[in-house]
Amino acid sequence: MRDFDYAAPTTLADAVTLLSRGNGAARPLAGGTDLIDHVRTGRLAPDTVVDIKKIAELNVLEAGPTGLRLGAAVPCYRVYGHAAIVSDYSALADSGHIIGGVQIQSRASFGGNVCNSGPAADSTPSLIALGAMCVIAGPKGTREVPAEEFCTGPGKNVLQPGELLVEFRMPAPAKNSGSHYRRFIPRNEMDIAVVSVAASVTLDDAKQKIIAARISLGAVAPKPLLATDAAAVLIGQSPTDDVLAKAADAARKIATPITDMRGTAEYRTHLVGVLVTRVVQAAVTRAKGEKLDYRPGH
Amino acid sequence: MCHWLCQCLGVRSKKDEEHWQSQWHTGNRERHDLLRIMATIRQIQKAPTMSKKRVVSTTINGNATEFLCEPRQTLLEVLRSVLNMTGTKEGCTNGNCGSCTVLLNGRPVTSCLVLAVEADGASVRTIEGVACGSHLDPVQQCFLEGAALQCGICTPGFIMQTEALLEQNGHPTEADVRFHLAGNLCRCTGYDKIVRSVLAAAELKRCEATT
Repeated sequence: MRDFDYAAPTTLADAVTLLSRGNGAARPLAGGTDLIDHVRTGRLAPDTVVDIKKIAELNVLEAGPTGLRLGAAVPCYRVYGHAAIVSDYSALADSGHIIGGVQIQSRASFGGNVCNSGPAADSTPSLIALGAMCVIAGPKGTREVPAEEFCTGPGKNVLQPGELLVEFRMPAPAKNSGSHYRRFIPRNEMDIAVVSVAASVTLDDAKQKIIAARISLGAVAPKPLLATDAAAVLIGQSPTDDVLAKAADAARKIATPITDMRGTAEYRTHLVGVLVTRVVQAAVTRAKGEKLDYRPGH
Repeated sequence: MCHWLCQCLGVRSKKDEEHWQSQWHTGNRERHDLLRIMATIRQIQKAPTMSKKRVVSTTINGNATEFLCEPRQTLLEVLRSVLNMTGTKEGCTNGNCGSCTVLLNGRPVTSCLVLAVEADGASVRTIEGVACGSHLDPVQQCFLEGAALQCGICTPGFIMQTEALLEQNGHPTEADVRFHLAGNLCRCTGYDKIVRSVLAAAELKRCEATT
């Protein structure tokens, strides 16, 4: 592997200074599951690798009455091992369970997955569906960007040189709400999504009608999408087959997938409809407080 | 050709390039000479920026261990090449095959995707630390009896990954085992014998715990 220097700052200010000074040649290291591979293959050529795992702000994992704070360097296993995330932010746990294998989940972080900005990233749709804000620190101070605006294209995002993603903040779940993330792959695990969908829904007091919904699509556009129209179809409705079919249609309309070895554009567009239907149904099941019959990867 | 070679190898100073041009023109253009020149240029390129070696203090299989490494060296590289612990195997070097799995602070990780400097202050458990003297661990015993290996390259990784599973879940189902071992690839066995051996090891561990 090419030569580089290593720094492990313990404060956010030091990390931002190191990244700014590097002027693009310094790269942050969280789990390293993408970075180390990219350096080895020559796709990235950093002069300095800044290990951000010793910074308290990037390791925060707190669920409380004001919502969830998820540090950008928190590895997947801590996400799906957190009781409040499993019960109240279930889509995040669903994502964490299927990012790579167990060894990857020991190291890989949601922050790294989002910053890598792959169109098929497994964590981004869940964060979008749960209304996450990305907190970014940089030389000019701190700013916040909604998760759906963070990625701008394959491998591209809003981070400017010297900026560092610090944490995700999500609002506390409303009463009678539930969420789910699912992807289609030809096998059960260790693959990249052909299509993925995340949804969060909130039901009324009678648990009959949907009063709020957010749906996000992955792997069908240059970046993960927020399907606003598909979610709007659900508002005020009971999740009947007819309503779900209309939401699926609306979601299909914004999908602009490519044809590659994982599937054709037509196939992916079809899958968007299938997954939107199933994922919204699953989110409704959870919103009702019922147990969802779902095994990670299936 | 020589200018092109210098460009490709990143020789940017005019002086360096002139030096290598003269080497090129006076030397034999045989392949081994070309390779020697390329290797020397690479060394020159590397030398001025070489990062300082770091001292890393870890606990490996219960023993306090210090080693020197460059930031760019992976934990896998250091285990095998610096510490001569060659039980951990190198497979794909990109985190897909799981053959380099070790436990870092109790969690299974692919050591090809961990920088050795990151292991400072951490505890590492490798395949060398699984058996107790000449007494095999239940997982090793069951892999042996269940013929869960053929060529053996993937085996240390599978055993470490199984150790991690059985520490968390003493009663895994077949589906649990297959899901947990998804990050380990084996090209010989077809996995069935591995899965059966893991289930047998879980049972053996339970029996040992009750007796």
